[in-house]
Amino acid sequence: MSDNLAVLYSNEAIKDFGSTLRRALRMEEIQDYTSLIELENAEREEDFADAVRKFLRRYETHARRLHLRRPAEENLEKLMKLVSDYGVRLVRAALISHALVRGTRDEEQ
Amino acid sequence: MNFFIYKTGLEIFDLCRAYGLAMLLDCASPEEEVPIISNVGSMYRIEHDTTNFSQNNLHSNIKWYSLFEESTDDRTWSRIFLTDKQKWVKKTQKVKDILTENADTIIRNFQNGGRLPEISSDKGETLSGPLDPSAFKGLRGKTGGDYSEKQTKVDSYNWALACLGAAVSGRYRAQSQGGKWDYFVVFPVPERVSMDNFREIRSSIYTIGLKYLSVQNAAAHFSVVLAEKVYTMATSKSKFADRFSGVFFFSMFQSGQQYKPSSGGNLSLYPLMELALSGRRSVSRMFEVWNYLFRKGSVQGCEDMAEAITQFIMNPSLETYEKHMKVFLRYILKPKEVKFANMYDDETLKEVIAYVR
Repeated sequence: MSDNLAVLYSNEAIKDFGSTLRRALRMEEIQDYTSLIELENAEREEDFADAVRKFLRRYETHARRLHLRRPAEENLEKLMKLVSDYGVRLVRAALISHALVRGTRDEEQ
Repeated sequence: MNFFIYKTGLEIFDLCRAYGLAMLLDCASPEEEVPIISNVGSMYRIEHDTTNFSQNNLHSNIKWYSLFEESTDDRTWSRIFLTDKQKWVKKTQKVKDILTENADTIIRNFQNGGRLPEISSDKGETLSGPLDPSAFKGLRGKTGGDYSEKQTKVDSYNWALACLGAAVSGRYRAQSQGGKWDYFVVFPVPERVSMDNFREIRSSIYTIGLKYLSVQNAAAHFSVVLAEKVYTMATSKSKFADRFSGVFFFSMFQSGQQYKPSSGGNLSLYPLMELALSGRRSVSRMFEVWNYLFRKGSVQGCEDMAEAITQFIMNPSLETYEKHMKVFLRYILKPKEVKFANMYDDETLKEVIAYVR
């Protein structure tokens, strides 16, 4: 369990989406708690895909306005492949773990 | 020379006897030698390099007499004999007299084999409930229907050793709850620990305490503080190989004029010791964050934080990790609630993930 979670936590696609989620939660101008709750409540693969899609749509609005980095297109495909391989629960835990770590000082303020 | 304490099934009583014998050997031998306690399955082994033991060494040893003085920091002796109320002073004196006057016989009895204590309901000294909660209950006899609600009694040598061991190794934390007192008791179980290192650990961590939600919360916090101390000693001492295998814990609550046992258990320290002895800097950071979570969780209104980190330390599964993550993240997202320094960094979180089983 721990090994899989560690592998997923270090995965580039999850890192990319995880840091985006962290920004979306921590930056005062965004504070997208809705996406966090939707991701936390996703049980099935389809629910998770739907939560990620909605999260990206919400993030896009802020990213345009604040000139933020977006997750790479190919990482979205990799993320969904990981969900098929490891299951929603492990991928979700690894993804949200990135939101837990210290970000940049800008994100914290 | 090796000394053995055979386990009887009264787990805390056995553990306390081992600590008690180690302390007696330490004080009855020349100062430069230090006993080492090891947990070896069906017994505790106490190794001591010297053969030069004498109860005469006790008479001139200030350290020996100071063991029986009630410390204002932890008040352990009065708590071991909590159910004896005002008689605790006499009982403490009795422990001191038995051990001081019979040290040579006791040491001889436990050499190369030792022997089992005599446990009955009619002969010997009463085993105090706050020393081992099993003593609050009666004893089963040789047949299924034979059960006695009388007090549990043990022979005086083993009783005195156990009382001394409890005073040395037990942490009794009293907490007032609605005008009544609750006691949270923890005992660290050695896997292999030398007594001089144990004394250092005891003096630096036993006074650390918070307002706890439950005995599980107290035991989990104690484990983290203990592991953090082991980490510090392992990184600062060149030949440090000591480790603890677990923590025994139980609680007592006041019911009228009496004290009764409540929940208890045994927490394995194997994963925490593995991390502590790795010597990695990120492990130290992880312990700092966990300590912060326990401190934060002891504040009124933040009980969910304490509950989540306790469950995670006690049972590090994916489920408890998710719960801990969820609760901690909610606090991080509140403006100015968690300082930057109290959050996990990337390397620290990898250590936390490695703790998940």
